[in-house]
Amino acid sequence: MNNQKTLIIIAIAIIVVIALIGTYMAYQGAGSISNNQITDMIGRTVDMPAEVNRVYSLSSSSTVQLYMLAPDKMVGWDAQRSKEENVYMSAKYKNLPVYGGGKKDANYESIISSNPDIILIGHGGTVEDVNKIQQKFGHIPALDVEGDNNLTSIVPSIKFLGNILGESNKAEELIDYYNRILNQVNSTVATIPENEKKKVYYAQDPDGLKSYAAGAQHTNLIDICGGVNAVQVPIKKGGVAVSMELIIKWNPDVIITSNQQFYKTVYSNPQWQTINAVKNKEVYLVPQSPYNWFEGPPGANTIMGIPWTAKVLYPDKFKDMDLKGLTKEFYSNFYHYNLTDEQVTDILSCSGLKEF
Amino acid sequence: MIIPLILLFFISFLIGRYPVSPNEVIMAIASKLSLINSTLSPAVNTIIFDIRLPRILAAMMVGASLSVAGASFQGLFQNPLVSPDKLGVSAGAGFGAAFAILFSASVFMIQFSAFAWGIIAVGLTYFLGRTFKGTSMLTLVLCGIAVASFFSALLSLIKYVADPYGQLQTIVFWLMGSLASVNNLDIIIMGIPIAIGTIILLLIRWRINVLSMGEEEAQTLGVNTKRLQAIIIICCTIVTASAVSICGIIGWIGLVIPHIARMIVGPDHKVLLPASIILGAFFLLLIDNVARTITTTEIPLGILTAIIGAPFFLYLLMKSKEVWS
Repeated sequence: MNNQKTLIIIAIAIIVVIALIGTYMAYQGAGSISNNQITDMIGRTVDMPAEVNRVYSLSSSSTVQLYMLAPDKMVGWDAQRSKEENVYMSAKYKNLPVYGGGKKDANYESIISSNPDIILIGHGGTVEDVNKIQQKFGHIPALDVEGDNNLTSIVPSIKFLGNILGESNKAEELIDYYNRILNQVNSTVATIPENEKKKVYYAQDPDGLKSYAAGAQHTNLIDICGGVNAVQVPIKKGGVAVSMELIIKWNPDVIITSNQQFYKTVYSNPQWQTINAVKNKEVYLVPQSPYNWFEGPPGANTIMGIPWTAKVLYPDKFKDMDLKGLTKEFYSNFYHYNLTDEQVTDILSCSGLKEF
Repeated sequence: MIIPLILLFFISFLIGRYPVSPNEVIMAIASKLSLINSTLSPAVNTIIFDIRLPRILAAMMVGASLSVAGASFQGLFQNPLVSPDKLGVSAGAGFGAAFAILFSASVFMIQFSAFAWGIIAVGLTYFLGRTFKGTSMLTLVLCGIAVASFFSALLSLIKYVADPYGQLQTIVFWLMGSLASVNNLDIIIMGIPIAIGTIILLLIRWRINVLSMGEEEAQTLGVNTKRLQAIIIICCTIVTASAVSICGIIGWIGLVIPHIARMIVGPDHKVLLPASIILGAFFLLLIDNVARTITTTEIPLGILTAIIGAPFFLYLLMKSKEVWS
């Protein structure tokens, strides 16, 4: 018995030592110097090519920004796009090949053979993680973009991408749009007294029983637009599963969902009938095409969600906000798709809004 | 037997989504050894040395280590249904990785956590098995099943609270097993424990023969069975945990390959272990070549090993008259 114990302890000790040496070696690698350099958002110094014409993004939120700022420089998608998401995207872009993304199924050879000038890594983790990805791309610079998946800290990431993509004007345009809407919403929200704020539940999954706790970046829009997230549980950041009983107890005034199945069934599901939001027909479906307006990913696409959520929560206070016009402007400027009047009306009325 | 493996090793450099000619491979290797000054594009160099080379080495190492651990375990437990994860190493590693992913740890910490928890799970199994009064190998397997399901429950709990758009995807993908992000440093870190464990197993391979006759018989022959069992379990666990921590959970290799090896070379562990190593390396390299070539995105390796492994295993069962006695 003792003998075996010692053996195991020795074995573990050996492993720990080897692992520590490994980490040390990992930190030693990386770094070379030449002329045209740029510092990415995690602080790595990267050699840039003279011109950036072909770009591949490894994560959904940086892909959104890439699509907004320089769609013609995209060489492929990081993930498969659904039919629903492709409604308002021209064939030129939706038919680009899919090479997979960083956290999941990136096929490095496919990406390299598409011959990109640079690679974008959205919120890549630690410097070590990003370096590890860089190693797979060899000479092709991989740039980390931070804040791309959080609506409240997104501006620096837009600026950074505008700069490296050679689209600084477009980036400024997007930031202006963001600031304009945000200021309007903020000033109105500031006048709403605490006790009149609506309690909002964000429902995921066909059964509507998945959500995000208050404080999560996925539900930033509720906070920005002066709502109170109904899910007051201590687990931050991550998604939470909630029970019907809790929802009945919280009794939200408004329900926002990204799930069509749930939206279709909520008004007829007997379990949900006691909820204020259901009684008052205050359930709203987030528009999805070409990107989700509310979260998933919680990035630049949700800028369009600011005026929408504001209208959803406080239609009376935002009467003077021209959501139709804002939508058309956003789509033509940043989604490269000119919506007709009918299409705008369709998008907004399908989301459950009565006036816009 | 080793010749097809060497052949496949070289052919694997030519397979992939990025077209590389045999000439370029030879040139790249020659220039790496500074025999010639190459005029190759840096892309080709990256493809060969940073993408294909680590994957090829990792596939061979993982295939070999899972197979040698499987063969040793099947001998140790005198049971053809045992695979190297029977004592909970994969479940523990899966939990460890998910736990690290939940806290947004770095890639290295995820690997280390997977490795450490894999070892902890087997350690738990082992000490539980020793504590209970029945000291048979069967008790150990039963403890392994209990510990494994305990850790899978913990894993489910983590998946339950993970962020569905970020962490959950990472966890699920990790669990399916992939060699896509393996780099040269991983090979070194993983290679050392795998090499140590495998060499020890190879050195004591004739003793596994004695054990597979039964514990009592082995004791009458003067073998310290308890110590031998412990050594085999430790080596197999380290080898498996290293493989799993880098590549995620890759099933079926450890179960199927020893059987195929046994059909070819017979049940003598003296030749069975080396045969398993070679066959395992060959098989996983073959499957990984498919995984990285078949679509523009990556197919997780664990999926392919099960899709190919399970029917193949059934086919072998039907064909062979292999007898366990």
